[in-house]
Amino acid sequence: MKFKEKHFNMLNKNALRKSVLALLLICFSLSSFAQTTNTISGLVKDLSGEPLIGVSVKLGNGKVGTITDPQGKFSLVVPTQSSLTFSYIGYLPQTILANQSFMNVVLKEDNKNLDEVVVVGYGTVKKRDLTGAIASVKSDDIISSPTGNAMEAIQGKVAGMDIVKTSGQAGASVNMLLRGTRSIYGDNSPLFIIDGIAGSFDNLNTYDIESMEILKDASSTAIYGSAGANGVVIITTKRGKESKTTVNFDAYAGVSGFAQYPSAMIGDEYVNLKKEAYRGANGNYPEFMTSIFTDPAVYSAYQDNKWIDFVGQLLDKQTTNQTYNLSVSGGTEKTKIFASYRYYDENGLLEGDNIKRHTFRINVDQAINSWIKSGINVQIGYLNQARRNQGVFGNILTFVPLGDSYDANGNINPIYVSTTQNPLSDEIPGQYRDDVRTTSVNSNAFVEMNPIKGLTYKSVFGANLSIARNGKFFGPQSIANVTATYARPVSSLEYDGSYGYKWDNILTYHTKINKDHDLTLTGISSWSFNQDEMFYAIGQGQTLSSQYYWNLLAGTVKQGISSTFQQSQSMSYAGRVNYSYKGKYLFNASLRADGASRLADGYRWDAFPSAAIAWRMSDENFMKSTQNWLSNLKLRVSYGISGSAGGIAPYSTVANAYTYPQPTAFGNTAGSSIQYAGAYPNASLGWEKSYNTNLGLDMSFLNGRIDATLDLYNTDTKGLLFQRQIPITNGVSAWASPLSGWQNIGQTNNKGIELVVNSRNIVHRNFTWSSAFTFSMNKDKVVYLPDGKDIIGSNLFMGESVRALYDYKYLGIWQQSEVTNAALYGCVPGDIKIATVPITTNGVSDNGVHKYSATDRMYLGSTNPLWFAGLQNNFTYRNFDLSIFFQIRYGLIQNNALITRFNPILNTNSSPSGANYWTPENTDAYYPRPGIHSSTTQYLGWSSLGIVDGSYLKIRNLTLGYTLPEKVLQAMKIQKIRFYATAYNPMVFAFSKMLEGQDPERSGSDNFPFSREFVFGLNVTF
Amino acid sequence: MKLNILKNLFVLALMCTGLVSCSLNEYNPTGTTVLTVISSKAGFQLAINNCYFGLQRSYYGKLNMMLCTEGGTDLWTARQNSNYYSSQLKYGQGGLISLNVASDLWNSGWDGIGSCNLCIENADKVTDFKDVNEKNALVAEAYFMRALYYYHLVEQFGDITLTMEVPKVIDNSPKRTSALDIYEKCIIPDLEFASKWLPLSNTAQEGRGFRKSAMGLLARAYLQTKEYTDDNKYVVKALDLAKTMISDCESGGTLYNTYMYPNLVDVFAKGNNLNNKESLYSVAFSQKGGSTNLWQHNDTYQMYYCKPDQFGAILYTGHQTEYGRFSNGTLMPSKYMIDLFKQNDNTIDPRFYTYFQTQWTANNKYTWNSDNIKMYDKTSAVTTATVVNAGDVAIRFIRPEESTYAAYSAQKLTSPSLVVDYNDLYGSDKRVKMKYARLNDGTNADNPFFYYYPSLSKFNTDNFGYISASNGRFGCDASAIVMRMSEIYLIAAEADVYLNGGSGAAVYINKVRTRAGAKILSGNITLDMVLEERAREVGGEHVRWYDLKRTHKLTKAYLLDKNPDVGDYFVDGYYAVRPIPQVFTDVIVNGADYQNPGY
Repeated sequence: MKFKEKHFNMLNKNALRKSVLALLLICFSLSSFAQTTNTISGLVKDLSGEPLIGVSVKLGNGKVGTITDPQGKFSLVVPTQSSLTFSYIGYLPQTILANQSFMNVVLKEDNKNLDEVVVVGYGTVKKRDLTGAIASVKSDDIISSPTGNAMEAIQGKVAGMDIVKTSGQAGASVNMLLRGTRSIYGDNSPLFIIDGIAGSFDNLNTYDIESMEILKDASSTAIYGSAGANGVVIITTKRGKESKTTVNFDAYAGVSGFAQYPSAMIGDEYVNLKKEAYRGANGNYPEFMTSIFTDPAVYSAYQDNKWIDFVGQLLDKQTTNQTYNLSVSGGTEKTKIFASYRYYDENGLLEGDNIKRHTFRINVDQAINSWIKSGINVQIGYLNQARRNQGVFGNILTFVPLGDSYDANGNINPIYVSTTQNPLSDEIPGQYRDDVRTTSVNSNAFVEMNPIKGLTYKSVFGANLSIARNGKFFGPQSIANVTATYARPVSSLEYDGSYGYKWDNILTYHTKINKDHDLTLTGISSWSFNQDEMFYAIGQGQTLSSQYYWNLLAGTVKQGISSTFQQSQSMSYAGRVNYSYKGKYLFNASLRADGASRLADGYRWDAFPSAAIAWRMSDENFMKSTQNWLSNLKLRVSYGISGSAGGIAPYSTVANAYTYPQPTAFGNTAGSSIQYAGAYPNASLGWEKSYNTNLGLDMSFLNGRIDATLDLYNTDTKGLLFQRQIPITNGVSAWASPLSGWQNIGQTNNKGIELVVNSRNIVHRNFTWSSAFTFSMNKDKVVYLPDGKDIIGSNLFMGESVRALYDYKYLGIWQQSEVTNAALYGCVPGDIKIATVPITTNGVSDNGVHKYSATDRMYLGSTNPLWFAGLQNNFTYRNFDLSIFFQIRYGLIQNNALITRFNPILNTNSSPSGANYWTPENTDAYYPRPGIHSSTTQYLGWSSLGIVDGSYLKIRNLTLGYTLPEKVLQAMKIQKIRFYATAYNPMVFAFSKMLEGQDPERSGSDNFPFSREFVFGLNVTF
Repeated sequence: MKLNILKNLFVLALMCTGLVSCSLNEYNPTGTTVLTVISSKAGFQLAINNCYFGLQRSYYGKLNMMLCTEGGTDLWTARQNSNYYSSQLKYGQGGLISLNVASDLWNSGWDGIGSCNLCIENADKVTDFKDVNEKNALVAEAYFMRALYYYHLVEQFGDITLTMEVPKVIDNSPKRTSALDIYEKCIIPDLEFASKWLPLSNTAQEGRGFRKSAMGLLARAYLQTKEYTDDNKYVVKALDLAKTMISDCESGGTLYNTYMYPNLVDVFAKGNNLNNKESLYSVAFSQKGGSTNLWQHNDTYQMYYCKPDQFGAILYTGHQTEYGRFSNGTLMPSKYMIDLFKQNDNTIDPRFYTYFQTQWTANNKYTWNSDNIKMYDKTSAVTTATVVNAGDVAIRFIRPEESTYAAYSAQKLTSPSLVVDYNDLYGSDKRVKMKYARLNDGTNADNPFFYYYPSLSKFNTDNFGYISASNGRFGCDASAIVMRMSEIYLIAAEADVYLNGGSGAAVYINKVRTRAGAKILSGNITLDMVLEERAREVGGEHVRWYDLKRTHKLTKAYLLDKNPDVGDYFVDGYYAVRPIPQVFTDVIVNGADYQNPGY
C-alpha cells in the first residue's frame, strides 16, 4: 500500500506546485514591443468564478503573449484593435477582441475528455454515457514501446490487466490476465475484436492501432457472451480521413543484449564446490583430484586450466533490432483510405534466434449512396522466424566447464571434452534449424445501411487464413533433443493451415423521445467457424546436412507422417437496450444466447444476461456547489453472467483414440498400438458461468486537471470447467500417464479494486508534467471443490488462490548444534530444514516431529500478484519530451528454476555462480551441504529452495525525444520530425535477494532471459 | 415512401439470412473411438500390442526396475558403496526416500492393466475372429500381461486396487485389496488361462507371451503365495507345474518348447541373446519401435559394471567397440554375494567366472604418475617411468580361494598393473572397505580399489542398434530375459522344501549345478540353500527382492547378517513395500489413507 500513499502525497503537493508555477511565471514574463499600442490587462476565471493560473494569452498572430499570474491576472501591451486568444489545457480556447483596457474573461471547460467517443461492443458511446468498466489506450501509448507485440506495449498501462512476458526469445508473446484467474484450466486470455470482428492481435502492426478499448465488467462484455468471459479487447485500426493526406514514417533501430543471467561456476568456485561435495559424501576432502575428475579427459583439462565460461560464450553478445513503418492516409468525401507497411526485425539473444515480420494493411471506406456505405480492411502478414532450442540454457549452466569449447581455428568443437557434446553445438553452421514461416491474411468487409433515421443495419464478414510451416533439422552434431523414437540426423516439416470466418449482423435503432429520453436498441447475430489442418512428415538418417528439411525422403533409416483435422463452430444471438434520461440516468441491459459445438449435445446452448445503471451525480443541481473542484462524478453499477467453454478443445465430449505406428516392438518388428487420446470423455459437459458485479466511480477534479476512475468488482465462477486427473488405478491412461477428464465442478471467486488517475501536474507553455497512474488489486480464491476436498494433484486448495504454490516451506539449514533434533526429521546437519505439519495418530499429535514426508507440503502463496501498478510520467520542456514508466507487481511468489539449478551432487556438472552453500565452516548459507545426497530429484524438500517472493519494481521504459521546431519544419515543408531514444527494460529491482541478477517478471523460468534494449528512432509526418 | 419500404425490405431480407442458425454438430472425420477400432481383429491386435506398452517402457531393461527388484537385498550395494541411488539401494541411508521412487513402475503397470482390461472385456465384440481358438490365443496375451503387471505391482507396493474391468464410473477413492486376493482373483486365474491358450512360439515376434512364458510365471506366482499364506495349496501346484515343465524340457521341449543350454557359457553368449532358447519370456527391443528415445532401450548392460577406466591404462572409448565394455554401473556385489561362490571344498563355483568379469586388459599405454603411485600404495618398484602397455593385464581381481592368490597378492604393491585384493575390497565385518591403510606412509586414505570390483557381466552385449558415441548414447537392442528355464528347477526345489522338507530338492538343484560345473549337493536341501543357489544362478535377474520377501528374509536381522552396508538402514514393517507414488496419492480423495505405513 506504500505506493498509494505516495500517490496521495503527490496530489497534496499539487497546491504547492501551483505556487511554484506562479513564481516561475513571473520570471518568464516577456518583454513588450514598441508600437501603437495599448496596455490591456484582465482577469481570467472559470465558470465557477475561480481564477485560472497559467492561461496562455496570445495576440492573434501568435507571436506575442503572456500567461496569467497566480491571481488569474494578466497584462499585455498590444497593438490597437487586436484580438487575444486565451488557451488553457482542459478548457475551450477563446478569442476576444481586445477593445477594453480591462477584460473579464471566462473560460469554459473543455469536456472533450467526456465527449470522447469510446468503442464498445457492437457500437460506440461517449465516455460520459458509459455504464461499464472500460479502459482506453491510445496510439501514442502503444507505439512508445519498441516491441512488435501490441499487448506487450500496454504492459502496466491498464488497471486490472496483468500482462507478463516470460521469455526473451525473439517474438515471444505475453501472458494476459484480466481481473485475475477465474477459470482454472480455461484459457484466461481476453477476446480480441479487431475492427469489429474477433481476431488475433499477434500479427497486428502496432503503428496501425488507433485505439484499444479494454472491456472489463460483465455489462460491457456480455454482448460478446461466452467469448468475452475473460474480458474483451477492442482494437480499432487507423482509417483514412477526408481531404487530408498524411504520410507517416517511423523508424527505429536499437541494440539489445545485456541479459540478466547468472554465469556457471568455473575455476576455484567450481573446484571448491566439488571438493565440498566429495567431503559431504565421504567425510573428508579428496586427496587426489582424480577422485573428483574420474574422467581422465576432464582431469587433464583441469590440469591444463582449460576453464570454459559457457554462459559468456553464449550470451555476451549484442544484437540489433529495427523497425520501419510507413503509412499513408487520406480520402475524399466518399472514399477514404489508410494503408501501411511495416518491417519488423528482432534478433534474440542467441545466434540463430530471430524474427522478421512484414505487415501490410489497407483499410478502405466507401460511401455507396446516401444510406449505404461499405468498407474493407485487409491485413497481410508474413513472419519468418528462426528459433533456437530452449535446452541450451540448462546445458550451459550445468555442463562440465572444462575442455576446449573452440578449436585452434576458433570453430566450435562438437565434442569439447571426453565424449561430452558442446552445448553450443547448435551454433555450428548447418547443424540445427527450426524455422517457422507464417503467412496470414486477416480481412473483413462490412456494409452499413441507414434505411430510415435512427436505424442502422451492419453486416460484417471476417475471414482469417493462416498457413504456418515449421521446418526442423537436427544435424549429426546438434545437441537439441530430437523427437522421441528418432535419432539424429533427423528432419521434419510441418504445415498447419487454419481457416476461419465470422459473420456478424448488427441492427441498431436509436431514437430520442422528448429530448430527455435517449433509447438505443441493438440486435445481433453472430456465426463463427474455425477449421485447422495439420500435416507432418519426418525422416531420419539423411547423409547430407545441406539438404536440411527439404529432402525428407533422403532420411532412409526411418520415416513417419501424420495429419490431423479439427473443426469447431459457434452461433449466437444477442439483444441490448441502452436508455438514458437527461444524460444523467443511464441504463443498459443485454441478453446473449450462445451455442458451441465443442460442448456436449444437450448442453450446447445457454443464455447470458447482464444489466448496468449509471448515475451522473455531478449533473444534479445539488452538486452545483462542488463544480469548482469536482467537475464530474459518475456512479456505475453493473451485474452480468458470462459463460466460458474456452479451455475445452473440440471433441472433448467423446472418447478419442490414436493409433501410434511404433510404440512397441516385437522381435525386430514395430508393433503399432491404439491408445486413448486427449481428454477422457464427459457426455454432460456444459458452460462454466461467471456472475460478475462491478461498482464504479468516475471523477474529475480541479477542472479536469485530475481524472480518476475507481472500480470494485466481484466475480463468482460456478460450474467451473475443470480438468481432473483420473486416478490411474481406473486403468484409463495414455502413454503410461493418467488421462484427465473435464468436469463442470468447483467454484472460484475474484474480488478486486482498480484505480486509474490521470493528472496534469504542471502545465506551462514551455514545461509540462503529466502523470498516469494505474493500480489494480485482485484476490482470487477457490471456493469449492469436488467432495469438498483439496486436490493436491491438481494444485487446488479450498480458500486459497487458484494459482497456488503448494510445496515444502523452507526454513533454513540444519546446523551442527541441532544434530540430535535433525535426526528426528530424518536429517543431518547441512540438510534443508522445512516446516512440518503435525500428524495426529489415535488422538495424539506428534507436534510435527517426524521424518519429512509429502504431508509436510503446504500452501505457500499465489503466483498471481496481490496488486500491481504502473506509473507513467511525461515531461516536456520546449521541444524535448521525456517519459518514464514504472511498473510494480507485488505480493506473489514464484517457483524459480534457476535457484534449483544449483547442483550439490558429487559429479562434475556445474552450477549457477554465486551459490552460498552450507559447510561446517560456512553455516550461514541458503543452500544445503553438497554431497550428502546423490540426487536432487529424490531429495525431499529440495523444491522448497526455489520458492521465493516474486515481487518487483521495474523501469520498463525511459524515452527522451526531441521534436524539430516548427520554423525549421516549415522550411522543409514537413509537418513533424521527432527523434527519440528509448531504454526499454533498463532496470529491475527484485524484492527477493535470491533473485538478484534475474528478472522476476520471467516467473522463475531459466530459459531465454530478457535482453535490455536501447533504441534510437525517428517519427516523420508529411 | 415506396423507396423506403423497398429499402426496409432489402435490409430485412439481408438480416434474415444473417439470422439463420447453422448446425453445431461436431464434424470429426479423423476422430474415432477405441471401441470402434478394436471391434475388428486387426484393430483388436492394436489393442493387444498396447498391453505391452508399459512393460517395454518402464520394466525390464530399465534401471529403476533393476534397482527395485535387486537393490536393497543381500547381494548388492551401491557402486563404491556410495550414496548413489540410496533410496532404492540403501533405503535412503536413514534419510528421506522420495515418494515417487517407483512411480514409473506404478504408472506403466496401471497403463498395462488398463490396456489388458480393455482387451479382455471387449474380445467378444470382435466381429471377425475365425473361431474361439483364434480369439482365445490373442486375448490370452492380455491375460498374461495383466498377471505380469499385477505380480510386480503387488510385490512392489503391497495391497493395491484390483481393477479388472474398464470403469463405468471414475473412482476417485480407490480401495485396496489384499495381495493374496489379487493373486487368487487375478494373477493365478489369468496365468492359468494364458497357459492354456497362448501359442507355443513365434520367433519372429519375440516379446509376446508364449505358453511357456505363462507357465513359468504361473509357477513363480504359485510359489510367491508363500509370502502371504502358510497354506501350501498353491505350492503343490507350483511343484506340479515345475515338474511338467522340467519333464518337457528334458524330453526335448516337444510340448511347451522349453529348453536349457547344456553349457553354462551359452546361456548369456552373445549369439544366443535374441530368441534365447533357455528364456521362457524375453522383452525385445528394436530400433524399429519403442516409446522412449532410441538410446534408452535395454540399459541392463550398464548396471553392474565397475569403473575400470578410473585406471589410466583403460580408456573409455565407448562401449560399442568391445563386447561388454561399460564403465561406472550402479550396483556393486556385496561380500556375501562374492562369498556365495566359494564351495565347501574351498574351490570357486565356475559361475563366478562365467557371470562376473574380474580382469581387464589395457587398451592404452599408461605411464604411472606420482599421484597414482601414492594412491595405489606402490612401492619404489613403480616409478614415473613405469609403463602398462596396451594388451597387458591392467586390472586383476584376486580372491583367497584362487591358487594364484598368494603369488599375485605378493606383487600387488610392486606390479605395474593394479591388483585388487578381495581383502582390500571387503572387510571381515562383511562390509565394503571404505578406507585403505597405506603401507607406505601409514595414511588411512579413501579406498582407491573400490572402483574395481567383480562385475556381473550376464547382460553384456554388443547388440547396439543405435550408436552416437559423440553424445555418449548407445541404444541397446539386446532382449531382456524375464525368466529362464533353470529357475524352474529352483522353483521345484523350493516347493519341495516347503512340501517335503527338501528331501527331493537336491535332484532339481543339482541339475542346475551340474550344468554350471559346480559340485553337486546331497542330502536334505534347506530353504537357505535354495536361496543361495538362486543368488548364484539368477542373481541380478530381477528377482532377489521378491525372493527375500517370499522367504520372509527381507528383514533387518537378515540383511544386517548378510549385507550390513544395506541392513544398517532397513526398518522392519516399513521398507518391505515401496511408497505409493505421491503423484497418485495427490490425485485421489483418500490419498493419506492409501499410502503405505511409514511413508
